[in-house]
Amino acid sequence: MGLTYISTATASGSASLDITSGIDSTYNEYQFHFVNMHPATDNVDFTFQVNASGGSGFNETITSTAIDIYHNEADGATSLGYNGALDQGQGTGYQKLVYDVGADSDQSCSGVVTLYAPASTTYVKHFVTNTNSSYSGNYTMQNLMAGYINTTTAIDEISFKFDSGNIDSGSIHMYGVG
Amino acid sequence: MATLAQWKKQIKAQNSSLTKMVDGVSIELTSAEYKKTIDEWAQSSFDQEIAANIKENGGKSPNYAQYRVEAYPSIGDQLDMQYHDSVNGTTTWADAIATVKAKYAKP
Repeated sequence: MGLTYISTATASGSASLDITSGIDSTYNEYQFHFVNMHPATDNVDFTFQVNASGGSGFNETITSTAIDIYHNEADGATSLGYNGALDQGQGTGYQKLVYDVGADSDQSCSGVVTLYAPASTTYVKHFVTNTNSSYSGNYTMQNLMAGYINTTTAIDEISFKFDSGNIDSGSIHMYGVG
Repeated sequence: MATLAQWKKQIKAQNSSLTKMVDGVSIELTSAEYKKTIDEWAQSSFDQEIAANIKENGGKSPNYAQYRVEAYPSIGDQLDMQYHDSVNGTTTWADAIATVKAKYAKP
């Protein structure tokens, strides 16, 4: 099993990065590798949502879990725990991937979203994410999110954005796994 | 603190138009999309400012548990407090925990 490169989307002062083609039944698993997503605004959350085939808007129902792990540059603070501020219970908002990303010139966030069997018309759509960011308070912050998109309609579009302000720069590479 | 309306005005002033990148093509947001995005960004900034104020100064918040976790002394420090409390008959540990609980109150 290997990764097959499909496409790259690059932000340039963009409110969102949307991928509306290439997500279909060709692969049973898709990975979205986002690299150095740099926000225009300090202290913002990087998020994603999907759109079901034939649907309108990025607003599918999501139930998710969220764990964060952090350590600060001053070597004085560490934590590993569940973060109830990041999860959703049948919510239709954008799912948080990383929170409080800093906007200093050297700060950004990177990670992977794995979406399983988006073309299934039998099962809900599971996703697992693993990300790291330069937290605005000068912490390294790892976020581990997982959940499912509670629809049995095929998913064929995905959107990424910060919860406030533009994506100043950064790229998202889409791969098929199989 | 700025009101929600003030945030909207400020964000609009900073972004007279907005674009989104769709399959590698930059597209200007429609007026409806623009309004929705400005509203979302303003609400997010407004909520964040309230949260930052509570984190700094304390208050009631649905996120009280998260704030408390970040504010409690480390487990090592708490054990040290409990040891000294047991030897000296003091209430350092209980006082420290009570201070955090009082600062970040359950709504």
